[in-house]
Amino acid sequence: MVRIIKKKRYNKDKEGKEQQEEYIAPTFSVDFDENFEKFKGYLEKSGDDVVFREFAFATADIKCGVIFIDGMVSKQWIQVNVISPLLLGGGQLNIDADEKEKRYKTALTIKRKIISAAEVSEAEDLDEAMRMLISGETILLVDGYDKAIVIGTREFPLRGVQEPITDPVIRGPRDGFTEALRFNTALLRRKIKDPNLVFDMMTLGRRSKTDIIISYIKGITNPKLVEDAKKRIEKIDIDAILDSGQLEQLIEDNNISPFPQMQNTERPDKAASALLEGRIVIFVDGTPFVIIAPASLYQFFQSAEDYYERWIIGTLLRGLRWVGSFIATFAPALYVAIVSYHPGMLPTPLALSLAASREGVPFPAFIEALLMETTIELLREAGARLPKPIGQTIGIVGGIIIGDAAVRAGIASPFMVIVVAVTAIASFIIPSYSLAIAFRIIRFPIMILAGTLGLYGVMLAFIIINIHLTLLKSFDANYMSPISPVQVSDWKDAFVRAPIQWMKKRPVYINPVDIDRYEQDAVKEM
Amino acid sequence: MSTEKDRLSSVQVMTLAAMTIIGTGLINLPRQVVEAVELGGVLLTLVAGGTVTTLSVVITLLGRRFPNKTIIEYSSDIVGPILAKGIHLLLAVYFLVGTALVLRLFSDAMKAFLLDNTPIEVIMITMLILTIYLAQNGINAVARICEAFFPIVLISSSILLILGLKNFDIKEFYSLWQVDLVDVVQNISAVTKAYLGFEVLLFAVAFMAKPKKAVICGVAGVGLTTIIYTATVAICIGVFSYDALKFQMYPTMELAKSIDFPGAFAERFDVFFAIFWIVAVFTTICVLHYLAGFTTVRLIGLKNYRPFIYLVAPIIYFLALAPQNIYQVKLCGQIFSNLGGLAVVLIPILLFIIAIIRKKGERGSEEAK
Repeated sequence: MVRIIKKKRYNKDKEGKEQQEEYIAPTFSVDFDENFEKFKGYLEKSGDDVVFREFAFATADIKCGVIFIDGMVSKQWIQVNVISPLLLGGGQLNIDADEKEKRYKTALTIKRKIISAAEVSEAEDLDEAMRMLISGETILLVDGYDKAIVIGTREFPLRGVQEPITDPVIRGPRDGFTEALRFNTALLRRKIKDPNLVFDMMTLGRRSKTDIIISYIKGITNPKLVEDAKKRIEKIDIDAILDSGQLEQLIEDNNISPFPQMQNTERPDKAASALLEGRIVIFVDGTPFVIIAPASLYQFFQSAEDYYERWIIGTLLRGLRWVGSFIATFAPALYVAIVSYHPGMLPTPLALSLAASREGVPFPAFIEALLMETTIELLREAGARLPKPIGQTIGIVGGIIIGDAAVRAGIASPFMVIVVAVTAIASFIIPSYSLAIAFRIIRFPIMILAGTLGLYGVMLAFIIINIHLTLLKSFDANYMSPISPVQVSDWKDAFVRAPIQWMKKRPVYINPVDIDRYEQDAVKEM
Repeated sequence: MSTEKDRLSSVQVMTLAAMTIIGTGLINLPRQVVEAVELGGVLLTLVAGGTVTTLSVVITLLGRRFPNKTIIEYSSDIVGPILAKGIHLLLAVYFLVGTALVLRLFSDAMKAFLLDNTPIEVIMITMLILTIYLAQNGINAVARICEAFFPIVLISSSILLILGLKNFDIKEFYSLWQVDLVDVVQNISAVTKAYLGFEVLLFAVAFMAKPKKAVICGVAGVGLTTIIYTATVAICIGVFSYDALKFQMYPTMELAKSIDFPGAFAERFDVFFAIFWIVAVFTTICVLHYLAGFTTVRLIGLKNYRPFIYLVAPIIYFLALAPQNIYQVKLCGQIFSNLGGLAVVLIPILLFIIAIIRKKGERGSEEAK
């Protein structure tokens, strides 16, 4: 049944594509007024930010016109380098030909000699010209010329390079990606000055026409990986892509899993190190977050700073993060299981004080834990969406006052408050926000299992999570590697951060073409 | 059939063999050993392990002669399709009963240690759901899980044994020279049943990326298990003495209970050990469940094992519920180990001998040239 539906949908797609192929974009004529009116007809309704300026080329008295979108171009620049040379009649024209030929050649001369712009190109038809215009270029129409001259004048409001808000480090580079695609690629090029670094541009989104760049280093990255990524992106048919997060969801392997299957970062150094390991980095125009693929679980426990400080602290911190993730996932469930099913496994004094503290609590441990965990999730969400100064107040009011009041009122035991607080703090220790979310989500089903089956339920949950992670793939790389399948040489960068001198190989599980970090194969290939 | 990437690595086959064997045996082997012989339990465990290791060599050699073929395929190559069908039937029944038995033993132990008031059916059903979830993804997924869980089992049982050494009494071994060797040899078969599970090699070798390493992997897997089992038996005997062991249902759990954890953040170490033991048993049940589905589907003559993983689950469930009490479970265990002796000990040896005589398989054809 499913197959039939799929087939039908496929056929529909096919028909749609055929229709699209039949459509022919309107071309330009030789007549200036007609061309100019075409643009006006399309754009007049879309608002008054479109500027139409009609004038005459002084030297030959030919009608010209520029069209651009106010705010997306540098007006000053157009005036100095396009309009005034034309109006003031720069350049010399010695053309002996009939009127029609003359105008054509004049247009070529304008393009070649008069406009002093770095980027000048031509658009064959209206659609192409329109796309350029909308992305911030200026269109120059000349009477007698049946193409539109496109002048590169993009300049739009931008945030400068700032320190990234996510992934902050104490020691390490402080530049972060911005919303402009070209800035981002430049930041990356500054880190890796290798001509083998490739930026492959694609456009996505029927309406948004978002630029997307897949970057990789030729000679390190496996070409199959690049091909796979391109194929996945080409398959997408959507009206708009506004953030890399949307793209990530469209190309991931398993969209039911709570776990992130690609890494995202705002840091150019992190992106550069991923490229050097043989991964691909996907840029999306309009967002400072780039996607790194493939990813495996251990990567989400790495912070850029692990590599900048000496290896001992890096190793210890990684261990701490693994422990933290375990606490963030299992602590409330273990509390519920032990209190309600196995109080005997605690040492007697602890068991007694726990029982005493729970004496006044009217709920079973499971309800108590659910209540408190829900409260802290509420607080967290409230704090995250509020403006910063108020957000902090929420933290204090929620964390300290409600916690204290809940204990005094006898709704929750002090132990439960400790468990909830430690769980929340432990979940902040994970450097990757997307993975921390995953742990936050799975905590609740685990609590339910703990409430119904005790420690056996917790262990079942542990096994289920492991099965799921083992089956999960990210761009054909195993999510659980290097734990399963075992890849001992990759352990040096997974659970510990070995001294840099020891890490002479790139991670094996992503199948890089060039496995050795220190041998200069890639440069030789050039 | 499958690409290079989907094949089993050498480490995976090793852990698959080890994790399939390590299961219920880990907690009740010491009692079985002491019930079998008066003295020399450690020696018996070691000898039984050695026997099984030899058997695994035979099985892997047999598998290597027929590349990319499991026992289902090569048995008909060796003895013809009619006799092979009989072998298939035997294997299918063996795996069905085996899965059910391990599931029952596990559920009984779980009920005794962790969940006093929970019905045994709930434990069984939850466990079966988990094994279905994993087993339907094929032997590769199962092997990867074994690989991931192997360190957990190894480390937790090592910690248990090391902590158990505190109460160890070397006097129990002073009588080592009075061991009746004849008695030991006669009782090998009684202890061999704890090692059942090595038969996964009958199938796993066919899926290996490098079948040449099959023998080493098999020996390493079974050998590691032998070491763990022997150490467990030795320490249990040293701590509890022969006489006390006979009356303990789950001696290893008692061993865990006797431990004073340094620092005393936990009163009962046995709960900790029990939750790690769940992992060990889960892999055993899962592999056996997969093999039950796999052999059943081949017995019928179909190819896709996936629906049969679901179909055999209710059969396993009702088989596991069939025994009314622990005594009947023990009886079933006896039947199972006899069946196992026939299905996975005798038949592979016979097949191997016939294959050599009739010069079947890869090495056979090489010799014929």
